[in-house]
Amino acid sequence: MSAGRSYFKVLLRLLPSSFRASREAELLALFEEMREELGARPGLSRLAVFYARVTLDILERALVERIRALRGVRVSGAGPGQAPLGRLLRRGGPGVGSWLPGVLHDMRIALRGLLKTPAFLLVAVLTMTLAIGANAAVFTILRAVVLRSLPYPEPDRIVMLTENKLSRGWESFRVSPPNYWDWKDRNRSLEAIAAYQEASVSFSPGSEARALHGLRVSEGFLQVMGTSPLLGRGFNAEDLVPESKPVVVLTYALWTRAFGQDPGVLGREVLLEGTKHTVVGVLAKDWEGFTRRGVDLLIPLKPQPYWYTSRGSHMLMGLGRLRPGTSVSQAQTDFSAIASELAAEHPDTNTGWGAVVRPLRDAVLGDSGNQLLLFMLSAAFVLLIACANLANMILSRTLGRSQEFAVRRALGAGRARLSRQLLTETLVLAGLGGALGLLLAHLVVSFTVRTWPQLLPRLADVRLDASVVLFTVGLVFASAILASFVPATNALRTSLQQTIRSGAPGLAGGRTLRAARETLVVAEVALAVILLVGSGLLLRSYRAMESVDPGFVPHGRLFAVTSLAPGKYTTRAEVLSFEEGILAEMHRLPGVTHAAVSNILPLEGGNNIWGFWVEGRPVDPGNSDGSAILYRVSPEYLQTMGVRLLSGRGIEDADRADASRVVVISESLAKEQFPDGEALGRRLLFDPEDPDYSATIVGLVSDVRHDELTETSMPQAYVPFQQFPTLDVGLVLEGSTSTADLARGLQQAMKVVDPDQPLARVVSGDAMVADTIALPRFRTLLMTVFGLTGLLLAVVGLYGVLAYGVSQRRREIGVRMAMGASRASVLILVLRDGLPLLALGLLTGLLGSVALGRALRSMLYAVAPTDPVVLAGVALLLGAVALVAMLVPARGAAATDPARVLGQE
Amino acid sequence: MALKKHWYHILLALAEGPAHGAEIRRRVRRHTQGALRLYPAMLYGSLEDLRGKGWIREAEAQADPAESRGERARPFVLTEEGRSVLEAETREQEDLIRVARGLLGGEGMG
Repeated sequence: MSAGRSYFKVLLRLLPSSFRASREAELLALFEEMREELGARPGLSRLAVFYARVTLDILERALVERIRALRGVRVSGAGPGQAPLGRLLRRGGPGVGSWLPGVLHDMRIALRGLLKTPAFLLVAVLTMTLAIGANAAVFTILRAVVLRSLPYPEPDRIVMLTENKLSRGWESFRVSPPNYWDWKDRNRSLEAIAAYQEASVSFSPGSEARALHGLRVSEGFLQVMGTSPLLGRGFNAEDLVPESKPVVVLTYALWTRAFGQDPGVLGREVLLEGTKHTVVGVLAKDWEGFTRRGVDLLIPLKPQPYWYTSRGSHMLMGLGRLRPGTSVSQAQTDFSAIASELAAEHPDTNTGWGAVVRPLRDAVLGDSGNQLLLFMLSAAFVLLIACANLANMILSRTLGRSQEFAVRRALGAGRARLSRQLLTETLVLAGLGGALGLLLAHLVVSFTVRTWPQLLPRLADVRLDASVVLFTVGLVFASAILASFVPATNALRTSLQQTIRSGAPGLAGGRTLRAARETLVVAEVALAVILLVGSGLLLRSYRAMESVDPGFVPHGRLFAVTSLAPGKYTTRAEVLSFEEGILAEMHRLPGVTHAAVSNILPLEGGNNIWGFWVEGRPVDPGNSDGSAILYRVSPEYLQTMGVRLLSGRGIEDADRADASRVVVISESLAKEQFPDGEALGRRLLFDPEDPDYSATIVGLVSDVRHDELTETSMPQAYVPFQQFPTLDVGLVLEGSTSTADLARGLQQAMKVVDPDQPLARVVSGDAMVADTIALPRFRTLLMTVFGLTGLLLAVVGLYGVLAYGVSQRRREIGVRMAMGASRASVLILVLRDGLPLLALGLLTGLLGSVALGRALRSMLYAVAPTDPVVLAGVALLLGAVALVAMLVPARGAAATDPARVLGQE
Repeated sequence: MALKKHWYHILLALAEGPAHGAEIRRRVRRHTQGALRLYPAMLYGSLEDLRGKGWIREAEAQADPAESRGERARPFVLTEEGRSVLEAETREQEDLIRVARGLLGGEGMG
């Protein structure tokens, strides 16, 4: 839990450096020991109590030490218990000669004053806690994910290299090995270049196989990263020769986890994918993987013999480190030139293919930056609303105290002194809110990271560090100044004699003050409307996503994937025997009704795109007639998944390796290739030169969503696994028992067939669908929280202004009622004060939403940024809630007893 | 009670022999069956206070090169004065307990 450690380190800075310097390491060690005593997974409440106590512990000591230092008390003097905090503070009044006691004095007075009105204190601190907490939480994530540079030396020089084929709409595609080798030889812009593939590998240092995430990397990978190993070495040219001894480099984290940081790990053998690999290196501690699933280990990327001839097979990711002084666009020019050379030299395979050079940072972050900025903006809106609210609350309080202020001014207190008093009070409120907000942010962020670790890239690096604390302190000061500005400039301008003479504070400074308060409320309502519209749009868009038909039935299905160890499954027969074995075992499980295998699964990603030519049309080898995602499936697959058969037949038991080759195609493929003809019976050629790779269309099925739930995918084709075996195996089970039981059964079945083969991911169909919209769900949730917080604060603000107005006009209302005004007319009188504010706020907010809605467009699915349902819904919701908030003071006013009010005079 | 509770327990922990801060905390936890938890700043603050009073001191650094890992801290030791304070406090508590037992009618200590 290094977030906790960083937090503690920040806390330690509060201690005087003399105390900290000699003891920091020990204090930290002690903290970690206590943290460990809590257990590996303490509950949220235990964790909160622990951190609260640790925080209080340091705060208390820090105050004692600071005050001692201030007063020149030697350590040998009184202990902390003998000089209670209060007494120490009281002694630190003005006149000691330092500014700090003056501020402490002000704060003590402020706190004493605030404690007299506990309800005000509570509401104000709670408001600021929510608002500052939201900002601190979003900033913590923003900083780790977006603002922090990648953890490599000179990270701006690292680029990701991919290919594209814009005529097909592929903006970033894997590189084919021969193209990569040509890039490596011909480029002039890179200092180092490397290729990699992500790989799930089984790892067994102990008895049971586990699935780890690794990168197969080429020579030069560590040079591109700019890092050197902590122990041992990286890969050299010899390691990358196919027949060389298998080796592995561990990350620091895996070295710690699996080997307890044993320095003698070099030369040890570990079983990876069923093959013994020798550990030759351990990476430095600060090296982190840049892929979303993280990296546990590196293994050499060994070229397969067929790579040399398959310029059309795109399977590698490229990385490069720019030469010093070379820009990304210069590199792009260089690579584009190479791509056109290659297209000229190899027209069959390279026509239309380009090269893409992108900063690694952009490639890693994708769209996350924009989303987080949106959250930051929303959080800032919440803070603005909270500040406006606080300002209004203080204004009401100040007005109630204008007699006090007037008297104090008459006694010689300067306006500056009174402003300072006001600012100090606000600062105390914001400060308390900030401290609690920081705690809230810590809890929210650690909960988020623990619950959805793969929600955003680099989320694992999130920590609450000094910069977050600094940011929060900045927010505290900024909001204190914002919130006290209006009260300070208005309340204190009131004329002395007028206030004292009138004895009725409400009449003093009347018009400007009222205008100020009303402006604040209008702004609050407008900001709340914008937030609500944002969350409404995301909510509707999320509903639309949820109701998308993925083309198969996820419910009641269990999915798992595994990748057969290439060192162990070398022949076609071995692969097929595994497949048959696991199918038989799965069918034997209790409660299983259908079971199937497929090399890839929908929504789980896994690119397996094949170009094809239709038999009977002229073959242009450089340009296939179309492309399809190729699923290699066992006979029952389509039934197991619930993919609808539209015509013809599915894959059947008879489609064995020696039978004639068949393919089932999706509806969209049929429409694209055979718009007005019969698709069944036609033949597709996956390789025009190899008759083994051609198949007869025997069936037509509905489309499935392969990549994203919200995007129609490339057309699909299904071929029998028996006829086109691969090492990638996805497993699907459908059964009458719970998915948890199915999962247990599947693990058992796997143990029977091959105990060394781990299941990389076991997930129920419902969870798989939910995962693909986890990010939309999260941002919808977050925006809804912001929207509702904004609504609550704005309505409280509106209520406050009206209630205050009523309390000030009690006499007027009493007179009116004595003169015969009806209750209804009094009700209307009060509502007439509030309705224009509400209307103006709503209108401004709706206009603002329409203007800002465009920023949301990329996150919306099937909803326009100006969706009338959302706009009307927000107007109705806010109007209704605000009306209730206005009716409460209005009814109070209507219930005024004129005799009592006037009798008070 | 003249002596603050956690001071008493820190002194008691050191009566067992010289120890570093972490070990002191563990001993206190053991002595009180987990009832008294010393948080880091409280512990080290108290140690400073007790040192200021001369009831404990830091032991001489061990000249063990294997241990010389920079700022490796020295263990704290109970001084003669500290021991007598601890004994006086303990006697006071014994008296108190005897009185309490008598009043509560339980089996007295002697």
